[in-house]
Amino acid sequence: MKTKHEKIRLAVKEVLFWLLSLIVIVPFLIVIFNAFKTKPEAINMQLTLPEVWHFENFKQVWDQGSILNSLVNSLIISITSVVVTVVASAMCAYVISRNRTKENRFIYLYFAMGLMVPVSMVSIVKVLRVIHLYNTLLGSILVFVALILPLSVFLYYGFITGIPKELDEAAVIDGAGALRIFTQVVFPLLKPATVTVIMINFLNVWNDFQIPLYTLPDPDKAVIVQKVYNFYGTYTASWNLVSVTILFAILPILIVYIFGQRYIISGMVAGSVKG
Amino acid sequence: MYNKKIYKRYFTLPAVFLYTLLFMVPVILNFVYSFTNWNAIKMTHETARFIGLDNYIKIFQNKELASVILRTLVFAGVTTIFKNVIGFLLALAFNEGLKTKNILRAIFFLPAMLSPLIIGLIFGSIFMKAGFANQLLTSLGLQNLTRAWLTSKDTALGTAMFVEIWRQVGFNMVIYLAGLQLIDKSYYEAASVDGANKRQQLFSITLPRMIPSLIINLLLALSQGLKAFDIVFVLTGGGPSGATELINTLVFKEFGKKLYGMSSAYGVILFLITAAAGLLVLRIKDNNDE
Repeated sequence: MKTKHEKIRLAVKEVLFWLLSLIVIVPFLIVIFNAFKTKPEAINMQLTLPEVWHFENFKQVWDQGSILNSLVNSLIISITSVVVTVVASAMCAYVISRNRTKENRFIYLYFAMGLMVPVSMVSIVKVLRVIHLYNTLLGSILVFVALILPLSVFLYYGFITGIPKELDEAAVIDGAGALRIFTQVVFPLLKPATVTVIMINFLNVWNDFQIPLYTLPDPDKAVIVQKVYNFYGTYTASWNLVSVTILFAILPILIVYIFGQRYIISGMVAGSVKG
Repeated sequence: MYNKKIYKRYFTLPAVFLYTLLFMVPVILNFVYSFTNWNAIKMTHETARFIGLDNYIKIFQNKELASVILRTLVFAGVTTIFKNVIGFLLALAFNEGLKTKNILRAIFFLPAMLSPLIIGLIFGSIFMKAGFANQLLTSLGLQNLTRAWLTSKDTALGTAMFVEIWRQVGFNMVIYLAGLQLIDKSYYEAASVDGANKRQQLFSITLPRMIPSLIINLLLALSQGLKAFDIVFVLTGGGPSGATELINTLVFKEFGKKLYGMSSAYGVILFLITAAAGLLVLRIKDNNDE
């Protein structure tokens, strides 16, 4: 039973933490409010409601900034690289986790290295030039896949270890081939790990700036985060319009977050704790 | 006995191939290039000649360049400490008790979901001279504390570190929360029966069981701090006069100047530091496991 004294203490604590959470909330409010202001009104990015809500800012940015184009680029890059990674890392982790030969042990350690090692962007650009994929969406997709593979292999490896091997053996006795066992028996069981791998990687790819900065210099191929940066470069003093591009870039993430918050947090934790 | 039949070797090939081609080969190439003067300063052609350790000698002889390395270590160290201390305290607060703890967790975790570049941009506006930070100080009657946060040499690095901590503290919190939830409640019950107060419980039950979470957080925070790029790139671009230059922003600058060999040398230094930090943390882990 909670005493009255304890209840009051908890209520005070609650209020204090909500006040503290303003540190997180206020920056977003500033962006939201200023996105609806006029240019002079937004010049100092004040935390005030706009005098008049200028919804037309959104249309102006959408038309001028070819936002749709960059959102599509971001979606193509994020979805493709995540799909390729899911397939490649699940297959790889499945085999190296099930069949622990010396060679597979080495492959595991080889991927583990990639968890810590910083990427070498200069040399990646060089390799992309050699294979004629520099400044192409496909090139950036493949780079993303290479960089997010280590964590994904790791996550799947940990998860597969917990699935009984007898399942595979039962399937092989029923006459199923290797590919069929993987696609129809094992892969469906990996669903929780797959959800984690998709979420973590989608966010990382969508939010990344460094890789497109090095590998996709063509403004027409800019992803949304690059677009925000370029827009900021062009319209430095127009904080109202910059705020609008920021909202366009984070809105998809916010929507996913609001609905999938529980999965995302627990998935990311499960992922990193195992990794 | 079915191993060969079910676990086909070709299943590993796509992952190994892509990872090798676009991650590991570049890492090795980076080592090679760092011993060359590969550049494209002349627009007509690129040159690359083997110059031994010249790039490294240049880096370590130039005081300003060497201080970039030190600054990167400070940036990684300070942000790691704050992310972990604040993250742990938040995790303790939101573990149980509070009615709205789930919403509060979600709010504090939100920044970790967003692009560091965009967060940098938002805080670039907050810390501009007439921006919200100074507006707030003025309205609190603290005019004498207002300053040009990002353009004065004393405050720029600290401000950038603040933004990096703000961005990631929720992530560290969530990892600690996961650790806290693994602790069996009966420990606390037994302890309070024995008359241990809250503080004693924290030190003898909670903290020792936080070490696995701590190690994950240390590894992630250190490697994020050492590899930091986007936030500093957009907040200060390394300025004012190099006061916030980190290894990764310099890698990009040298790349922009088309001094690829030099850029690679910085990349190698970052590689070595990150590897050393990683091994150090794993060493602590091993000692702890014994």
